[in-house]
Amino acid sequence: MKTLAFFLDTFKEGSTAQQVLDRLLFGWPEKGSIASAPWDHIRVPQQALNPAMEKRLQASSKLQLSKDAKEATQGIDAWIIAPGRPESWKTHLAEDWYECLSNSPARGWVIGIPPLSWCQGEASISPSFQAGTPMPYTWRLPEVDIPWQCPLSEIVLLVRGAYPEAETHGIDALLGLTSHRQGGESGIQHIRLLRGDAVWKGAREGLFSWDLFKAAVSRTHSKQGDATVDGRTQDIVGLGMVPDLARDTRAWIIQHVDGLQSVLLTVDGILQDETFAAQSKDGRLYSAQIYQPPKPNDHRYSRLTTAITQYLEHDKSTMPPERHLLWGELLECMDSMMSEDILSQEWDRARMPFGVNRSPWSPEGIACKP
Amino acid sequence: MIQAPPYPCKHLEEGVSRRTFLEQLSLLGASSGILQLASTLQGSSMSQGAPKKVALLATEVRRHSHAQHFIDRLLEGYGWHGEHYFPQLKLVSLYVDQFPENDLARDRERRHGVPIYGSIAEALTRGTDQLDVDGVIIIAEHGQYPTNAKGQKQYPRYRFFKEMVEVFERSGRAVPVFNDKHYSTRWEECVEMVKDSYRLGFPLLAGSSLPVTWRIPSIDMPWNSDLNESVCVCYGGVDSYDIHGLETAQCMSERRHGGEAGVRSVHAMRGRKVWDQLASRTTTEQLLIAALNRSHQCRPASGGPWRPPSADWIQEACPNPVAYWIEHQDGFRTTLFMLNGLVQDFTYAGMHADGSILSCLMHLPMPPAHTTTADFFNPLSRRIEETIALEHATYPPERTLLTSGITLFAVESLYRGEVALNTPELNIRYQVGPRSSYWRG
Repeated sequence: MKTLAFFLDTFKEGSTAQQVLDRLLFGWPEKGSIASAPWDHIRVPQQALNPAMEKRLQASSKLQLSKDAKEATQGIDAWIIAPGRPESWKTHLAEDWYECLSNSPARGWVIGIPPLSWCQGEASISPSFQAGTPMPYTWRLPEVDIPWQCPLSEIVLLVRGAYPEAETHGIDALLGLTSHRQGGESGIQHIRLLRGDAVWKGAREGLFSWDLFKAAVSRTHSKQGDATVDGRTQDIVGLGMVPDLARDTRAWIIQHVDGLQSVLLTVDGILQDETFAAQSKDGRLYSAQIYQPPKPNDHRYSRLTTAITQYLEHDKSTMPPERHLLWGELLECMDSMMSEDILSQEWDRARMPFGVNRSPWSPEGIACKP
Repeated sequence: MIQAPPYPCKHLEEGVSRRTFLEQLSLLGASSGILQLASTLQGSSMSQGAPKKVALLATEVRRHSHAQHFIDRLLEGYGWHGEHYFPQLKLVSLYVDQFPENDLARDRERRHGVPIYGSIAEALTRGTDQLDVDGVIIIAEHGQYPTNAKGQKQYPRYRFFKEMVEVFERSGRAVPVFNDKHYSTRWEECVEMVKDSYRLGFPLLAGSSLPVTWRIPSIDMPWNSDLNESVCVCYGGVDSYDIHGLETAQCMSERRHGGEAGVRSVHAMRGRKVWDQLASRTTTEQLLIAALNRSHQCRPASGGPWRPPSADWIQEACPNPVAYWIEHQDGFRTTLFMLNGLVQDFTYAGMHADGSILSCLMHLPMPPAHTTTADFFNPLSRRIEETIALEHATYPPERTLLTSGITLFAVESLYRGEVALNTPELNIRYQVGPRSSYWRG
């Protein structure tokens, strides 16, 4: 009998925990069929559930409630942590999780960004775990990926939302797109933050590729501006409307050691979806929308659940721990830059180069394109 | 029987020869006189490089009406293959049938200087006595028009088309035409419209945006496959969204071995009968579930989280389903399910002879809930441009003749008390080429 421990801090409709736990208990659509979790029991510490949620989940015969985290981890084959509140990592909950899992031989997945200590040094969780949100795994329109070993020169990723949620998801998506480039991830050299009008001034000065920004915008299905008033499909970039539409814009210009420039740009007021455009050193362009299916089903989580089960069950890992470390350190750096109003930061951490042998993303179907 | 020739699928990147066109016309059984006329008509090609001039005939232009989507894509461009693309068509004239309070036609006329003419003939001749455009786009969807006893809204597609044909005939010249959605609400009119295109030798593109929009996953039916059955699950009303669902299924089904063989019967039904009929159709039930598994907007049970849709929940969520059961001449079967209350998207599933199933979602990012610009009109706008630029319809008009006919006979079936109707009129045979036309770049 195989058992998965599922840790969470809160369980409410639409939360990450709800989206993934429900799928593990009841199944999820995968390639046109319904997939089911490979574990006989999915063990959940009872204190995170309210009675109504508990009753609903008990409709699945897989659910096993446990008194606490310690009991939940007894004899498990795999574990998942799906915190809904970032602050949970600073509470006794995270301490409990760590205590229970640090010596567990089971593989695990953190849906979100784990504490840096979990990824490095003596305190790291062993044997290993993966971390990630749905961003690297969801469908793309079109089904475009950066080819493995591509000599990438620049990528512009457009995301939306408040700090730090937009950045957390954005970095996850960004590393999913760039880590399999030629030479793998080489580490970071420098980070620059532009805010508000400085973003557009920076664009005029060539601090990031305007062509890639335009290409990324062209992939949206939800441009703002007159489109919201009368449906107009106007070229909001070409018409110079973007600076006026933008709200609380943040552009993170990240210089990598190998010369890649990654630009993470928040586009609230301009678009309401996530897109990217990238260019290789030989001039090839890649662009797509990172598709966010409608709520409440939000089937990005179906793709994520498939990725999680493939890793936990078959060790089909896509990212080494160094990737999670880089994700966490980038966010930590961004946090200090935001709070201390720092606009330019040399990367003073270890370079953390790493390679991956394949992209985390894959097209869902076998495309038939005669 | 309407027998179309094998249909080479042309895209804008490709050329199409005048000889190929005339060969097709010859295969259609056109007389030598018509061929001569067609040859003359086709010979009057436009100068290379200059944008082709188009007229758009609309019922009404307001936010999110079909005409607004097409007009704005012509005037403002749209996202295509990683850039903001401006079509190589010049919208030079509009005819607008109705001007509601929230009309946008006059705003677009003022903003872009595209004149609105008082009649279709004037829009096509632009102050001359001859046809003075290189293409015509008919968007007769939305607006206030009477509904007949069968529940069909009497959109003036046929009237627009015939007034256009009159100009073509008077001018001794015909140009490519796009007709949005189904041809008309009377079968004889649908046939006449397609036959006019044969007779005068103008390329006719028609139908829905569903066949050309994104697919999730990005797949097409392998060409020449041994497909046995198709199912589309969608939502919406009779004589409205049903045509979209039928085109969703047909753009896949027509790629089967031997091509489309025509339809021999149509049986439409509502409510409990749908589930009773489904109970006797094992493969159709499998395909229904497979299609639902592709839905991104299948309503979860009791408003809760997503669950695999159970048979009980499907029936509870959708107490008044509508289904069209369609038998083709070659034994192939198509079923359209309109499951209002359960789904809000369009999904497809098809079964091959070995029982394997191919399924996908036809992605329709509908404004205002999910998008702002209804970008499923982008690929259709592109296909229209191809048709006008290449003077060759990207896919055959017979597809939409068949789906128009199925729609009309399904409406008739419901009107007559949900009886099965034999449809010798729908003995429409056509073939498509292997190339795919949906949005994938």
